[in-house]
Amino acid sequence: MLFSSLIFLFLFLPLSLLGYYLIDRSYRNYWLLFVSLVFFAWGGVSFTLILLASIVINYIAGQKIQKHLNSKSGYWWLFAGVSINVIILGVFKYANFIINNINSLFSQFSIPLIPDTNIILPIGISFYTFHSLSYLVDIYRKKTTAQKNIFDLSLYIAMFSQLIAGPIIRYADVWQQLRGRTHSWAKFSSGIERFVIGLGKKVLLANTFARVADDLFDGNVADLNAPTAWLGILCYTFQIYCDFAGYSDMAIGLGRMFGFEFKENFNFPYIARSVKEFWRRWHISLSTFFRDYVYIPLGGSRVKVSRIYLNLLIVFFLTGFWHGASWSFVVWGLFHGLFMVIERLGFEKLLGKMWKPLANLYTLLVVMFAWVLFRADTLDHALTYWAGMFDFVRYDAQTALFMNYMNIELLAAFVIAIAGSFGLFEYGRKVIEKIVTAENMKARVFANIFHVASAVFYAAVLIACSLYLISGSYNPFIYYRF
Amino acid sequence: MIQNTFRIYLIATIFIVLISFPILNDEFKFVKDIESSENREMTSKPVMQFTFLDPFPGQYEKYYNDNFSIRSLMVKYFNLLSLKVFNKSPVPDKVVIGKDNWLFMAGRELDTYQGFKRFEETELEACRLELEYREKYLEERGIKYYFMIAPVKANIYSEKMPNMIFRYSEQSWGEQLIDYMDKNSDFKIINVYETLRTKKDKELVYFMLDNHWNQLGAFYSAYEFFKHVESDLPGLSVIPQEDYSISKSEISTGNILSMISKIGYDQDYSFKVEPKSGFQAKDVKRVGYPVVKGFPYPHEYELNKEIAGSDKPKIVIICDSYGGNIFPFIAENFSRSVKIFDCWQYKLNEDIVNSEKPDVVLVVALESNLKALLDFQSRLNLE
Repeated sequence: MLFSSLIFLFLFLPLSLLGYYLIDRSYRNYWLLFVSLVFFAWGGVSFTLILLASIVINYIAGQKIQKHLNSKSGYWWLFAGVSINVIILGVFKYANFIINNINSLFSQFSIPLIPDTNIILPIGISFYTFHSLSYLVDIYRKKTTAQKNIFDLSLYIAMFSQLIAGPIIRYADVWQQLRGRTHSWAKFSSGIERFVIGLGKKVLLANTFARVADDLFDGNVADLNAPTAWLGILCYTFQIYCDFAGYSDMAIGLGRMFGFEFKENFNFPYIARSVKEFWRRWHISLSTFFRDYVYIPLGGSRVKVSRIYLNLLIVFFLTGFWHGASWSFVVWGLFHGLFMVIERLGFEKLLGKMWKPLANLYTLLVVMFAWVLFRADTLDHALTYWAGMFDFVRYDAQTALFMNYMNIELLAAFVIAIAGSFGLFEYGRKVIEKIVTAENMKARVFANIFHVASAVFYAAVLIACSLYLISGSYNPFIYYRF
Repeated sequence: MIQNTFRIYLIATIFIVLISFPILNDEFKFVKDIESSENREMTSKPVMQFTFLDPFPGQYEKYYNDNFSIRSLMVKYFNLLSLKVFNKSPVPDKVVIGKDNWLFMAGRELDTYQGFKRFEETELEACRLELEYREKYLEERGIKYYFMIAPVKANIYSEKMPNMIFRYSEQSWGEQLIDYMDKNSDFKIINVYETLRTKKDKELVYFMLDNHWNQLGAFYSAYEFFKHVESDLPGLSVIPQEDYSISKSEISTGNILSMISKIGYDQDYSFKVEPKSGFQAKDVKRVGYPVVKGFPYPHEYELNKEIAGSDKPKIVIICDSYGGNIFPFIAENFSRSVKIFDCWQYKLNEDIVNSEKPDVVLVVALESNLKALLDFQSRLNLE
């Protein structure tokens, strides 16, 4: 089930909230776990068994690590727990990819091929596996203690708000909230605001960009020339940000509606002035996960310089591979890793001295070229697309295609996405906050107008999203007669 | 975070009311829905099978979306938002908003107009072989074969297309095929493009809110066909055009308008074109030729007209919906006319032809459907 679906917004969410606030506080976690499992099962009933098995395995592993914390056995229980999680992820996410690669090697030497596994990727497996890993490692590192209540652990691993698209929540950050979170109308209302903003980013902006980006990336990319190819990647750049950041906003907002506080996952990544800074602002929960659980254990920055570069490349190889079982994701990760290394080699200092917009432009260009790798189906596809971005010759034929996409809706989406990505709305919000919290009569009048306008705005965004979602299911049949 | 009690309660209340509204409205019917403009059957409620639950969520969600409270009303408001605020088609993959209150079809019709995906040389050659094969097959049975391409509306009214819609090629699919046949074959396709482009200066030949030619466009196209057939069938005495009366009336419907929930546009024109002495050809009983499997309009598959006591030749028309308006004018000049809407396949329909034994077989095909002719390539290769 997607947050941006009618059934979630108008059936699942109201019933979940109603049940949650009607029942006794002591049963709320059970209710939340129940609705989370229904939410998960909606994406594949059979996959729920894998999720449940993963929960039981991690519960047992967590208990054992805790019990043998000060002995060698603790390490081996951690090793076993981490291995099982990685194997589950490997089998369901990477088996097809590995077999395909082995088969392409075998075919060179006429060795009989391994039959296809036809394994389907269960939704959310990358996220709940990382939740589980952080749980086990944090117990071993004594940052937290093992959860005794399997239902509370299940809720941590499977809570619907962050189950399928993150952010990756650390157990150490939420374990106290599992038992002792607070509820208030203020928190609930701020959750609504955050959720609706996220929904708007996804439905009104990301989906608008997606229509153009999908058309251009899924069509014959060899036909694209520079203006059209740049339009496609520009749309994809904003699509992926509005989509992913929108989902994180919705997850954080939903968390607040149920009393949780989750950490931020995005912090205006497109204003970054280096690739390094970009990764401090983009998918923060993933980059900090790899920092804490891979980069630092590998030695981090406290090893010799050549080893630091290798560590960076390993981390970015894994970052790419985590996103998907395809070489283009791996190359996407390594592409970022390469620029991280280049910046560390000294370019970082130059960027620091550079005119800020220029440094920002450099970062955006690196990120956009990398997004081509991320969006393309294969490396060949990406390379052909890159070639199109430099094709300034074929113009006439492409003008037709380019102009087809130009409409007020897309232009409005660009204006809003650019303003939002570069923090203009955030700046406006702070200015207004200053005004409405001032202690004078004029401010109070303005504040009341502002609060009503805000409520109308959130209602309008929700209604507009509903209209767009309804229109997605609108499928008039072309009737070739009168 | 701005903390204000009034704001907190206001936002929470509005949100709760909005997300609960569909459930409550289903029960209490505060707002009534309007009639759906989608000409399709909505998904029915799935049955949960506990032995195999995997497909249920998807089926239920489809049912939920199709039967969402006030769905049609919301679709209408979305279409209004698209049209009035963004000046954009609410269903861009299906409808193009033209100038001066004209609506056009998107999809293949737009591809045809823009010159996307034109015929390859090998495809043109395949079409030629197929048409010549059919001509020969029918000639052996004493039947004349004609093929008419109905132009896509945008190719006749290109000046009504939005400025943003550019063209790869000025030559549409139909004109490309006609041109190829003119240069490479003795079989000539009936070209109605020029006639329609000339006639449109005086009067509308297509509907504004529908993708079809109107009665007048069909009438002029029928007389293009008669120009060809008269020389081949000397016995055919075609009723002169002057013997028809033409009257015009306002209408406010159209199949493209229906796709945008019938909003924003309400003016179009229809023509009544009929012999001054009235139509002689009358509907007669259908033979009951087996309908193509999966054809969504089985009741329109076969339509027959006859002129009682006439010794004029007989005709079989294989067509799509463009045959609907042209049929009465053609039937008026034949003793028996059989119209077959063969699910946009434009086949030879040997069984029907051999049973009817007509003097003439005419195909009327919309140019955006012409690639259906390529479906017969494998047969030609075999032979």
